[in-house]
Amino acid sequence: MLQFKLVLLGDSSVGKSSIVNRFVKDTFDEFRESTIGAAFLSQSIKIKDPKTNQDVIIKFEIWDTAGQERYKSLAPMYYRNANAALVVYDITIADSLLKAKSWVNELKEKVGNSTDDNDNDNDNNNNNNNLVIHLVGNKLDLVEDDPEMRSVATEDAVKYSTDENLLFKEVSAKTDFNIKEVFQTIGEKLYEIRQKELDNNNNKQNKGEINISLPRPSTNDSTSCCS
Amino acid sequence: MKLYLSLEEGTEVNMGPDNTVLEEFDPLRQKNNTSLTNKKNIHENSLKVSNIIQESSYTNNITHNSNKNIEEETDNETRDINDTYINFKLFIEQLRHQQADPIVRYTKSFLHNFCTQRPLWTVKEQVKLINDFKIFIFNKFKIYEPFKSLDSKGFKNAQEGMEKLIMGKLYYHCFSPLLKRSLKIDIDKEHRQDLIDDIKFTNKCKEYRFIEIQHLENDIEIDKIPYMKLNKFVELGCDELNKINRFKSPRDKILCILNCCKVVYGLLKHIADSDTQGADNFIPLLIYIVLRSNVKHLISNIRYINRFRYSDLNTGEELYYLSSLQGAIKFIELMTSESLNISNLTEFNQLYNENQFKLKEEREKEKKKEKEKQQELQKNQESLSVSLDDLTTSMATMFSDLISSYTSNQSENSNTENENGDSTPSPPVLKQISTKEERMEEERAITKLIKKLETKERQETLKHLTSMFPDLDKEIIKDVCVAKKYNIGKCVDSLLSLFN
Repeated sequence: MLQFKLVLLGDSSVGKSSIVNRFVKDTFDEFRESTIGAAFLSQSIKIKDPKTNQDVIIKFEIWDTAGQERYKSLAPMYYRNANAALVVYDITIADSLLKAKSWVNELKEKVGNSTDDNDNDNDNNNNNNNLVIHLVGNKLDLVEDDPEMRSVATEDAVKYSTDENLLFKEVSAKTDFNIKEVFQTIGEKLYEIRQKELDNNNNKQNKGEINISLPRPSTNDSTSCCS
Repeated sequence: MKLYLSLEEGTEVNMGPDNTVLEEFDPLRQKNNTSLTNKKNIHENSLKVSNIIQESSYTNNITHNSNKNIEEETDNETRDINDTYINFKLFIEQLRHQQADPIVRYTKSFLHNFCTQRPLWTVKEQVKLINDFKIFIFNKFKIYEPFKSLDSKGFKNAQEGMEKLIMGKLYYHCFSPLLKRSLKIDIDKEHRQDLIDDIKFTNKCKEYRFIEIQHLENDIEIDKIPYMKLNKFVELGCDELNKINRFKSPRDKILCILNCCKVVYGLLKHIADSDTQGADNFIPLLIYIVLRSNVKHLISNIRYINRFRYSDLNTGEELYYLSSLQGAIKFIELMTSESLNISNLTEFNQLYNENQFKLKEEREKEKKKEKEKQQELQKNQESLSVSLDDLTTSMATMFSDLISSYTSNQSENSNTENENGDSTPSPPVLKQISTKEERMEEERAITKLIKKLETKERQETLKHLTSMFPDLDKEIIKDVCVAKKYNIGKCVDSLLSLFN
């Protein structure tokens, strides 16, 4: 089983949580542990290895973020070390795409640039240049009922996604349209990248490690502590 | 384990400034569970693995105890967490296994070297040494029984157990707020920075302690909560978070955070449907609780977890909530009136200024109290220090006795175990002490000593108060003392109000 971290970004009204709920809800998952609450959920899917045609299980750990503008500064805590990002906007609210675009920019700028990390604790120098970003336009159901409500044209979003090299789909969490497909695509993409990485087997370097050690712990230590 | 019970009952005994902090962080103060943890074995004794092994599973039920008051739905989930909770007792039994002896020796050797080679390692050194040891010993698990034949779940439990064991022992060497008092040396810059940041954060929380949940979130969902209910949950959440200082191991501290988050969800479930229980509503509530909780040394705690939690053991969920708490802390650290949702700025500013005024008053009061305390201390120091030394020595001897009897019996036991082919771990130490009478004798002596100290201290408190309030009847002062459990600060407050 392969495990990936997926971070969920987007304005507070776009229905981020609904998308994940729809994806996780009503599906039995033997790999899911009991959860504390809805802001962190996990769900696994099956994909096919394109070469061997064998089933591969991919487990997503889904990290929700607070979409309100005032909590924007918290986001780096969440997207650090993420393998994938789901950036959500509402196709009936033009502004929400602008917000989504700003998230995409921030992700491209910050993630993968591990030297930019201000936190001195527990630095994982994970190189995240391979972050998979999937743009999602939610609330397609509203537009199907009333085409007038659409504020973001599909073509515009498609063009933007192609330019920025993002995956893209319009979905409806309410009617469950395209939800599974979004995660399936991300899973396949992540698997492809992971396979490439394994092929390249890039050499790791231990940056900034300090060189100290105690004498090797030994079973016959003369300086017994009980004396 | 009468001794520890009596020590707990006697917490009003002023154990001197050095010990109050340690006591405060001692889990045994909250749990009367049988165990041999000790308030005194900070240095030499901290090296004795055979001793720490006795620190039995006092935290095994923290998830259980904590959420009792929340609605049933959350309670069920609490139990789920408990299922995945580590079984420390089992790990200790495995360590007692004869074939696990090399593991015990490696651990002893490491703890000994860590504590003696240098008075205090820098943060980076500590992190590297402890992490290296974990990697080393986890590899050794694969060689020695009973660890060798454990399945992956059992192996993980052993890893958790080992982390808890060594961090419990090295806590006084690694947790920044305790360093100065336990090691009695000047601490290095980075550890000191933790303390500085603790104070900064506490002050920041106090600066904004008057804000309401609406200032953090104007979403309609949160507005719907009845004020009383909100307060009750917030209080509960704060309690859970505050427990973080009671535990030594990184994992136990994380559990306190998870329990706090569970309380937040308990609240969210009452006001939101499943689609609005995500981070949008969770984060503001968490920030509100952190702001209200007044957890001491929260920054130090988080850094301690980040430094000494073995990264392979962290699950995604633990990391998520740890990150959320760090996010909440960061938000508070950077908070200004501009980061809040304020409908009426004039009103807000008025509240802010009122709070500033109150804070100033409180600080002055505190200073005054501190001064009184200092004087009190100076007065009592001579007489107290002598008797406290007595107590320490006698307890220390008792511990070394325990250990020696334990170790000698241990080897004998191993032999008989072999002959009988019986692999059950040897029974707990206490049965192996030379004679029951001797132990009782010691316990009685110590209890007596504590009583004596307590009486002495109370008399002095009374004397001090009567001299402070010469016009008041001595009997009245005594009554107040009893009512206020001889807490000087509280006594003075009550007496002052009486006097007026």
